[in-house]
Amino acid sequence: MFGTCLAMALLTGSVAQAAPLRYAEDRAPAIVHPLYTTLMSEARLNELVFEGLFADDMELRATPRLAESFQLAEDRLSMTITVRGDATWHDGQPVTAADVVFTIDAMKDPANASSEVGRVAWIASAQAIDERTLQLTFEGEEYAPEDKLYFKILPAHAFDGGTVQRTGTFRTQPVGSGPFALASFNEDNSITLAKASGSSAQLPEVMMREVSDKNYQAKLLVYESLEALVRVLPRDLATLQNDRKVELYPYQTNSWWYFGFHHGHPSLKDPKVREALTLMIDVPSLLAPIGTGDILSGPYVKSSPFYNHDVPPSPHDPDRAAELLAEAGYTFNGKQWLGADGKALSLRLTTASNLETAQDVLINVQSQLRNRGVTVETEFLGDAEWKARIWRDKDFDVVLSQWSFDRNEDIYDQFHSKGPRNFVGYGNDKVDELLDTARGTADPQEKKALMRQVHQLVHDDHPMVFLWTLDSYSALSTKVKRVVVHPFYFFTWAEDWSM
Amino acid sequence: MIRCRPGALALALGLVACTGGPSDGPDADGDTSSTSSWWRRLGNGPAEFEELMLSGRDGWIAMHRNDHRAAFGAFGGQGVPAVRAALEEALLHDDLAHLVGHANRARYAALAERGTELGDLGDLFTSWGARCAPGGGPRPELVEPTASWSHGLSRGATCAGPFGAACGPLPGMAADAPEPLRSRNALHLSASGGDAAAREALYAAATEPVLSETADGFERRHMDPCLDATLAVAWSMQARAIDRDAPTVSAWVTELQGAGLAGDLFAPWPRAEALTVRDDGALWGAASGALWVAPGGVDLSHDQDPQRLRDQITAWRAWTDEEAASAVASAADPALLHGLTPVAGLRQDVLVAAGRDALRHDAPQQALLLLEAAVDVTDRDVGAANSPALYALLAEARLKTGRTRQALDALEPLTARVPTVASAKELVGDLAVLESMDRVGDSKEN
Repeated sequence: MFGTCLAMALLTGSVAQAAPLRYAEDRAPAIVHPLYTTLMSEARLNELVFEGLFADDMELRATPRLAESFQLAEDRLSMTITVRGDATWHDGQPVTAADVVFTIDAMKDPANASSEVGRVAWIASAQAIDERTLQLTFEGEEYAPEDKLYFKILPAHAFDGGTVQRTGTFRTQPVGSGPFALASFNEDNSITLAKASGSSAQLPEVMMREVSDKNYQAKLLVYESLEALVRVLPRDLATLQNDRKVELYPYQTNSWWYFGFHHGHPSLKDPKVREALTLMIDVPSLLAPIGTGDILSGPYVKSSPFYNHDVPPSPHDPDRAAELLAEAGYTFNGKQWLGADGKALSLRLTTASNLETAQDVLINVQSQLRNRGVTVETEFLGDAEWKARIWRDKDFDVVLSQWSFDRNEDIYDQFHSKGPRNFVGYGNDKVDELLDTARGTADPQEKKALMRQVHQLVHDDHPMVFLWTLDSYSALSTKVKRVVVHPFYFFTWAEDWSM
Repeated sequence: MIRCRPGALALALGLVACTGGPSDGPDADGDTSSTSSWWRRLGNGPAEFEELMLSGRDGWIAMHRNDHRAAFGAFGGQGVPAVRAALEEALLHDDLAHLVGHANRARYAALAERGTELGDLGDLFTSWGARCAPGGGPRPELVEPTASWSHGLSRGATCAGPFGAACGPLPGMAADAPEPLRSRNALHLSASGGDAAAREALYAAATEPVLSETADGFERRHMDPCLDATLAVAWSMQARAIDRDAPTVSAWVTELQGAGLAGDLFAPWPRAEALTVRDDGALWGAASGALWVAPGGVDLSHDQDPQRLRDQITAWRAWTDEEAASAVASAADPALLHGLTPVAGLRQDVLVAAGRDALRHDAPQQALLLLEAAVDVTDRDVGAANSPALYALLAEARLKTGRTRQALDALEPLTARVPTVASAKELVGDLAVLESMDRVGDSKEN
């Protein structure tokens, strides 16, 4: 028996070679770049490759990572941070205070168009004092600034101190300081990460595998061709729960689906049209084929302290939808709704090709709207095209997408008129005022009351059709030991995982 | 062979069940352990089950759905099944009282750290919550309400539950306290004393604040922080009122042992004859019964390395898979076992009991492992698949491991079933908001 095993091992060249942890994403991230991270799949990779000054410990308290120590000024308007002396980049260079300053400046520089700019808006300036020490000056008083310093740090030397670009080579050749270094982008769209030199990670290698057919992912886990699924389809939960080689972990429960209306679209800038389209959609019938979840009335999940339970989800009411379209100046010719210019009400429905089961939803809603006289075309975009078309060019009519939030559930970026993630172009002065006020209050009950008002207003304005939140779990093989999954970033404590 | 491994967990619980595994044959002294368990008896002799159904069908249906308050009513508040239902309800509220007490304490600390004040009424309600919390709330001297009538607030003197339930709140509130506080306090006192009408009145009032005040343009809602502590006492008083002969766990176990299937059906032990009393004062021992000291050396005690505990949980699940299949295979009426899925319920109940034990012994990380593993993810509503106590304890475990926002996820399924959870959600929600106040939110597309 031993001889046979040895022979097999020699043939495969796998003597003493520990197996990698293989996890599945619906689609491989096109970039690995913390300044331009818009997708959860990218954020998960960032968690393995990069470090921030601070991160959550297992009780979700800020704990130093690249930082060694810090001192908050008595007036709470600035802080001094000392960077760890033993921290190095994957290319061997030391992590310095200048790297931190470079990262903050790069995030804040409008020329770089970082999607993460909102995470450093509270920092007025950053200055390196010496190789390992820097000072941050704040826009206002801060009580626990370390809680805001989780963003990932970039190596200044990789950019020659110059401009950072989304399309630069760093996105495919990143240099990080995290527990794993990017080893290769592979031909099958997988990405291989190797344990970084000096890292305390227990796993020798992590491999991100692209498995675009969501229906196939659970099978791969059951057949031991994967060790982890970051998000399980709700309909696979029963199978995986009954498999004793698999453990389920609640993950990313602050997520909700939506149809977002482009407010610059000639038809969609009219709130009556947006409301009419909302009332045409039978949300429960869209959800049923996907699995179990909660239908929502606004921009929070139901367990959120900010969810306004006095606001019911929009009903399916085609008759009222017809009245609203008539009030908006549209006429129905028995087949289609026509605008005052005689043109048919026509929309493009766009979704990312990697959004789980979104294609089914899009096709179903296309059918529902067509049956009500709205002409609908569908399109499915890859990640790179999505970033360019939706985020940068705002070239869409209606998008189907999904937002995931960390524990803060801060919707400022999505619904404030100046929010960097507000690509639908929504704007309401009262909502802006409430969101600004909420950021300034230290009273939790006041904040809850303010955000529940925002919920009501956003519901009434119909910038989106708020759809649902799904029961959300990840799954890992029991071969992977010491697993603790971060509720948002997933891999925060992956250094402790072993196989 | 009888295997009885009362580790730290088992010793801490009121009872220990000693049993053999599904593959074990009858042992030397004739104990057939799992073959004589209540689920095996169901499968092998449905006549006893049918007899029970005839005497209290609605009550047992409610028990199966983990709706113990409804079960108590359906049983007419009489007999061993009603006592079991009352004790389960007492335990649920005791669990929630632990959660509320911890959240109240943590919220106070977070507010004090930031220097945020919620006003005199805010202080009063914090103090109130501190005094009724089981296991100790924040030190009373930290929060002294200013109103003269409230100076007499003190922890209830009548910790009168038959099995050591949480003490009742507020006998010391002065008679000149303003309304509606005085009336609410009177309700608490009456309910704690065993008045069923007052108990039901507390449920009816549970989803609304006791007081609201307009502050800075918004409504500040002061929820009753002592509902669960009082209801824990009220239900254990109810149990004692039904069964005056069983004021201790030992006496109660004797009653269970003489009650036939009514003492065992849907219980987290295989059969009452296997129970041994370890702690004669523990409400949780009396209500949720023993830790299933599982065969095959499975050990779910809290005082072990998390990875070893996870492996033990996997072993426990595997054992219950085998036991469920074996019970069905040997059953005269397999359809009954398919329909009731008793071993799945047992699997969860044992994990819940172990999770509760871990929490009460300050091992929240271990509790989190046990309780996350107990959830049936295919139907997250409270019901036959997931008990309300599971979610109450899961919320507490998450709260105590820093997962405050996720604690709210655990509380949400309770909303439709347990009215008092409205108060817990407000408190835990406040804490979640406070904990994120200094953070910059992160959000991404999927």
